[in-house]
Amino acid sequence: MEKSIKKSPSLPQDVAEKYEATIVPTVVMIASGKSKGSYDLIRISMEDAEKLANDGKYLKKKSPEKSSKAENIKG
Amino acid sequence: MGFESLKKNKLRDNAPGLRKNILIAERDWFVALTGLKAPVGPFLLAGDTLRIIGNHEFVAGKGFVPFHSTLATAELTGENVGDRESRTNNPSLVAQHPGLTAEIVEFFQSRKNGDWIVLQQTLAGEWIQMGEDGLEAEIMFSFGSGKVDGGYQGVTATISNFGKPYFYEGDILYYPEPV
Repeated sequence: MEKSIKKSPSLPQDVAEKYEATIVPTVVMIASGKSKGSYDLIRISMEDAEKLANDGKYLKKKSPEKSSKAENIKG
Repeated sequence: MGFESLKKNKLRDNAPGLRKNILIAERDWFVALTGLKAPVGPFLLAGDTLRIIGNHEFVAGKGFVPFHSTLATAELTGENVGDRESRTNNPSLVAQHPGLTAEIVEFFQSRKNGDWIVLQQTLAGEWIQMGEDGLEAEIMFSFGSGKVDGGYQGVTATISNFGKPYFYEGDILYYPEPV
């Protein structure tokens, strides 16, 4: 079996620029509310990320300061 | 809350059995004191004393670990134990996991002494929870190779506790896996 060094799960890069996770990214099954359904935060789309953040579920929008810092690091 | 009657629900399909994923989480993985939710009053509707509507909360980096159970083997049963006028419930879940490898045996071997909260889902979609604060579930296992001309090679997990089966209606977080 091929062995590789594993790293901690994280949000997709484009999503991580705008949102931060309030939990270690994983699969979440939301039972009720506007964002009811199953999501894999490691592979979540921007559209779904916005839905979760608006519903206050496991993701929140980064403050403008943090977002610009992320953009600077990227740039 | 009251029961005037308990009529047959003709709209419910009532298919028997459990879905393939069994979810387990160690009691210590929930946020201390408040993370493991329980039914909360006022209990207005019939069944509310067994419904958990809050979301279980885990400490960072923890969550429910799923393990696959073969369809047609997973079965939840429950019976009363104790003496007359002093009885409680003893639900028990038996599920088989295919394969006899080091990873599989280690998975169950390392879990046999834990205190577990367990979720399993009916075909209709309800999540049934075994285990509560102070009455967590135990996971025991046995394994068999089967025979060349028949049988089953794999692990049989037996999960049991003393307490009520609860109906969990909150969010479910999976254990985060390193990538």
